[in-house]
Amino acid sequence: MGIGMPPLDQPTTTGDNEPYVFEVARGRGWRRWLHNPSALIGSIIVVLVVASALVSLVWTPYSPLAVDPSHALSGPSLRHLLGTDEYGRDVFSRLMASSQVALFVGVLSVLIATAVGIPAGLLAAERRGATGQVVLRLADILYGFPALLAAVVLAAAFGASKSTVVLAIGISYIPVFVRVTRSNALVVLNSEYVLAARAYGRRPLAIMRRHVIPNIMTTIIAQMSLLFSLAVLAETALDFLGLGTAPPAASWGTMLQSSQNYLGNDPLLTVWPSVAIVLCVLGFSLFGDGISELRDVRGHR
Amino acid sequence: MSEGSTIFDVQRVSKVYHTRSRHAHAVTALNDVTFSVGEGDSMAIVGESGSGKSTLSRLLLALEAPTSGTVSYRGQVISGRDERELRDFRRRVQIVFQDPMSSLDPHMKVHDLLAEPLRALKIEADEGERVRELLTSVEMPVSSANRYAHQFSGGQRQRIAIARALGPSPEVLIADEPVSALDVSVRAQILNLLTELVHDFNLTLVFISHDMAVVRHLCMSIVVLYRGNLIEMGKTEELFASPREDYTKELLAAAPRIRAVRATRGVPGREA
Repeated sequence: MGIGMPPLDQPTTTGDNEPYVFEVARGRGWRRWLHNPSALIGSIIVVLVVASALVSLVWTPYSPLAVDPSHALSGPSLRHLLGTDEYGRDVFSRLMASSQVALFVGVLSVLIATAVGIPAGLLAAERRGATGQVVLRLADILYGFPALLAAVVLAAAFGASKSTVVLAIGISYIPVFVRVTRSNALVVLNSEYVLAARAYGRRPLAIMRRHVIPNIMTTIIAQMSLLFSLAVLAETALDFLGLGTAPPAASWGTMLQSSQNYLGNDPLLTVWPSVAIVLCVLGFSLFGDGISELRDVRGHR
Repeated sequence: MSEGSTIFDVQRVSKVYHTRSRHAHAVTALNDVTFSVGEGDSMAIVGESGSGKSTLSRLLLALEAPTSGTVSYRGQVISGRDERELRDFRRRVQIVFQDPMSSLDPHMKVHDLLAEPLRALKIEADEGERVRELLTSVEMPVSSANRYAHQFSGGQRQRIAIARALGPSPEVLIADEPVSALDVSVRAQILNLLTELVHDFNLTLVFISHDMAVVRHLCMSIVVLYRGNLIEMGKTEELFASPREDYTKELLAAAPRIRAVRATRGVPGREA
């Protein structure tokens, strides 16, 4: 499904004389994207994070797990760009490897949340009667159940791991998607073009596929991007608390956690993962904002 | 006039909307309305906003069922029917809405907007060919097919909406205030286009409006709704010559003073 903006060519001025308000000053989709600072900065950061995760799969300057006690807690140098931690592991390599964890948890938890939340939201919008109410109440119950608590329960039941973090965050974001999907779908379902579609015999499922989903897709994608950044934040928090990634493996949360013991000796050790977290979260939020801003241009007319 | 068979037969139709608001329990949108539309007729349904005109159009399209009474199309009751049984009806009766901004999916190119009814109704046709035909018949350039509705002006959009309605070759066109959302300067163009199309394609027209001048120009007969009640009906010339009801006279005056009407008539919608 095309999520790209339609090409906005030069305005047509044939026939009826009604002014064109929006289309005039704006170029094609990608050019508008480049002219939108938050979208531009957001996408640069997103590309950086994704690239570092991908590169770290095959190459990091040092193995993120390689211990070198003789060079423990060495500051930034040419050999170790961002220095080493308390076991002499290369911080830069560990930061890179950590972006894998962040992306893994972010992508999977958002996928879980959308896989359940979007269909449930569509159902709640289509069936406004008892079924819709049941779906909404279930979402409310889930909403009242914090991700942290879910993570503690899951970690207690299955042991702390990346998968429990994914599950906990994913489940806790389901209600967000139920609500966003439902409210946006309701707007589309109440529109005259859906009424027109019904008048030429389109059935509910086809209306969902042809009208509702394409029209709410940009909002959903913006929301996904936003929740992705929140998921990264939640993941680092859970790791920090020891409910996620187990210690030898690298993640921004565990790095932050272990660095706090050396805050006095080597404060930079705390700075690096923090910067990574902030950048990543900021990047994906800006990216999401960019998408919704571009969408607004066409939303108003 | 309507020498042919009856197209729509509306028998004692009422529509009550139950609201969730605690203040008003139910709104009577239509109250015991009876009239019929003959083949080849052009019938106007007039009344101020809130008179039940749009509700009536939804009932005629079988998009909603009346609370009581029946709506029949060519002798067959259409209200409350299963969609499968309505397939043929859906092909034969099409609608043009008031606001072409909201009646055209912003996400679809004009080609898809026009092809959708053909696909939904499984009409065998060369899609591209048919779309070109339709655009030509509403006097739009064929190249419009590659654009989105929001790239056109209001009048052009309404042409697209009309083309969409013509797609399945309907015999009835319901036009729900098709020009009231448009610039005054383009209204005449769209009305002329409608008149031509109704003539060329031999359409039965149900024209919903509050603009008596337009109605006089376009329609043979008139039904006057006031607060859900059918208060007067008749041939256009007769009704214009000698309106029986005060409310109709008010409508005929260029600018109906609604407040004055209320004062003299009370609230007839609540009487029954």
